Amino acid sequence: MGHTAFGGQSVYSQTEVVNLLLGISIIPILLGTHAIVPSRHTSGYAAAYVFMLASYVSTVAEGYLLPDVFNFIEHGALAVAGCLFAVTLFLRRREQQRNLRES
Amino acid sequence: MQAVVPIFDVISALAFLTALGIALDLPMSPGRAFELGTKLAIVASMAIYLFVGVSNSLEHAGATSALDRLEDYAEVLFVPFFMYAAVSSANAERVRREMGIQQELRVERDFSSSMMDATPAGIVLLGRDGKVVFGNGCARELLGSVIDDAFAGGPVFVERDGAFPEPRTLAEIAHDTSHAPRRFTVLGVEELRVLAITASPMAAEGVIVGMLDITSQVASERELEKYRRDLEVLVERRTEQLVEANLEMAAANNAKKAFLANMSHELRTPLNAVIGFSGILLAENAGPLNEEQHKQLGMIEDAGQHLLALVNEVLDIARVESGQVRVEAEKVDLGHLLTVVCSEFELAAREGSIKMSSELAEEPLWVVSDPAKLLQILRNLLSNAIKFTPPGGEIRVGLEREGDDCVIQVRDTGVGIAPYDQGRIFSAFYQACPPGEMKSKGAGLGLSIARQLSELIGAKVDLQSTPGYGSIFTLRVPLVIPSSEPRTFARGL
Repeated sequence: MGHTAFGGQSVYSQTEVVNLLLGISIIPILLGTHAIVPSRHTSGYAAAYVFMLASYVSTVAEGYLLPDVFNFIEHGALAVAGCLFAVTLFLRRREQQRNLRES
Repeated sequence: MQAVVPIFDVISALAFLTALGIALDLPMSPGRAFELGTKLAIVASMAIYLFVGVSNSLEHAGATSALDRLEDYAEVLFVPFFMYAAVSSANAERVRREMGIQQELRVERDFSSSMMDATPAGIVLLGRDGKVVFGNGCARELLGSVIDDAFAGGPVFVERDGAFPEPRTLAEIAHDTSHAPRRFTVLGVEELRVLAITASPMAAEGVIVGMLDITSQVASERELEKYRRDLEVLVERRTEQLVEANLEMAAANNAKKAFLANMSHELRTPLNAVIGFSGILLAENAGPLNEEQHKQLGMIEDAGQHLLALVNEVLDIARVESGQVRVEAEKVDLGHLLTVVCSEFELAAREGSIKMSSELAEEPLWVVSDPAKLLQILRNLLSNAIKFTPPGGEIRVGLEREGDDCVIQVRDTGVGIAPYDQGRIFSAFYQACPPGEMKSKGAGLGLSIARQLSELIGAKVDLQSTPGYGSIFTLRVPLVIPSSEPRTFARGL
């Protein structure tokens, strides 16, 4: 269900806000996990996740101001996040294959 | 700017498609089912955003809004999936590391266990309560039939060298023992078994007790000790015999010296009479002599003189060896002394067609020594040189100062002394036979007396000689006699 602002125009959906809140709320969990078991790929996932959050923030923000700019950022951040996930997963797969061969 | 957005969406869809493909191809370690959850979570999260990318691209192409709504719900699912993937991935890493550590521990334990069993020493680990936690194969062999008693904390050891030979337990031994091994006998086994036991407390808990079988070593030590005692008894017996033999030898030597001294004295008295009266007769104080009588009396006198010289030498060496010679030190001009001695032998040298010369220092060389002993030494050296220098030969006498010594050299161009004889030439009665001569000259006492007298006055006589070319006798006299007090030197036994 959409909310209204600026004279009754729907500016964001509930799922977008929920997604943003969820995305922010798990940050402590992710940081804690990384602190307990540091991983070599964490930085790649973390960077991708930061872009995902940027995309979420932009999604909500575009309903209030600079809709074109935030829409651009939303889609651009998502594309960058996708590329970072692909690269990080590629590196992880290569290392796992090597570990399996060695063991 | 908005024109680029569809391109972003296409890129996004392709990137997540690639990521999904890779996620599906992520390898899984055999036997690790929990990795499947991680993989599925990654696949799901990548699939969600693949769907979002595709949905966005279709939206630009004018697709229905049904996909757009589905996209909103799908996006909400991404975060939990991603979180699950991250957390389970971290757990997988932790489990993987722990399994690696466990594997390393297993290998290490196997290695330690194999090493313990392979070592030829018994090793026992005592817990904090003093009970045996572990014992290797060798420890079990060493303790034999009492292994159970020992491991149960029973007293089966007795200290070999201890003052109180009470049975002890392993825990008691470990408590009192350190790295220095102590010897214990094992009670209750059929054969004698001696162990060297050490104990080493561990940093964590418990004590490592090491045991080494030294039964054969102890037996060897006992045998060695027996041999040592036997040897000591034998040495003691031999020493006593040696002392007795030495006493007998000393008595015999003293008797010999006394005999020589007495006999020489007794011989000299009638010899002086023979020489004196033959001299009187030769001087024709008792009446004229014919030629034959003169010749025979001359032979008597020569033989008498020769015999007297011999007796005098025997008497000298007997006195030296019996310690009856006193050293009387005084200031002596060595140059003057040499001149005197050389003049004494000038006639003999001329009669033997030997050229004799002296090279003396320009200034007087004073020493504090015994002039009588020095005279006798020099006479013996010169006499020896004249005896062994053939007619036409040369004798040179030199004197110079070298540091704290005055050095007198008597060089001759005589027959020389063979290397074999050079080490023995100063021994009493030793006569080196010159090459080509069947019989040596003299009694073999001159050089021996010279050597012994020189030692009495702190001097030293050395010899350098080349057979066929001559000899050099060097007398090194200290500027001051080591002890200038008149004294008696005791020599020999």
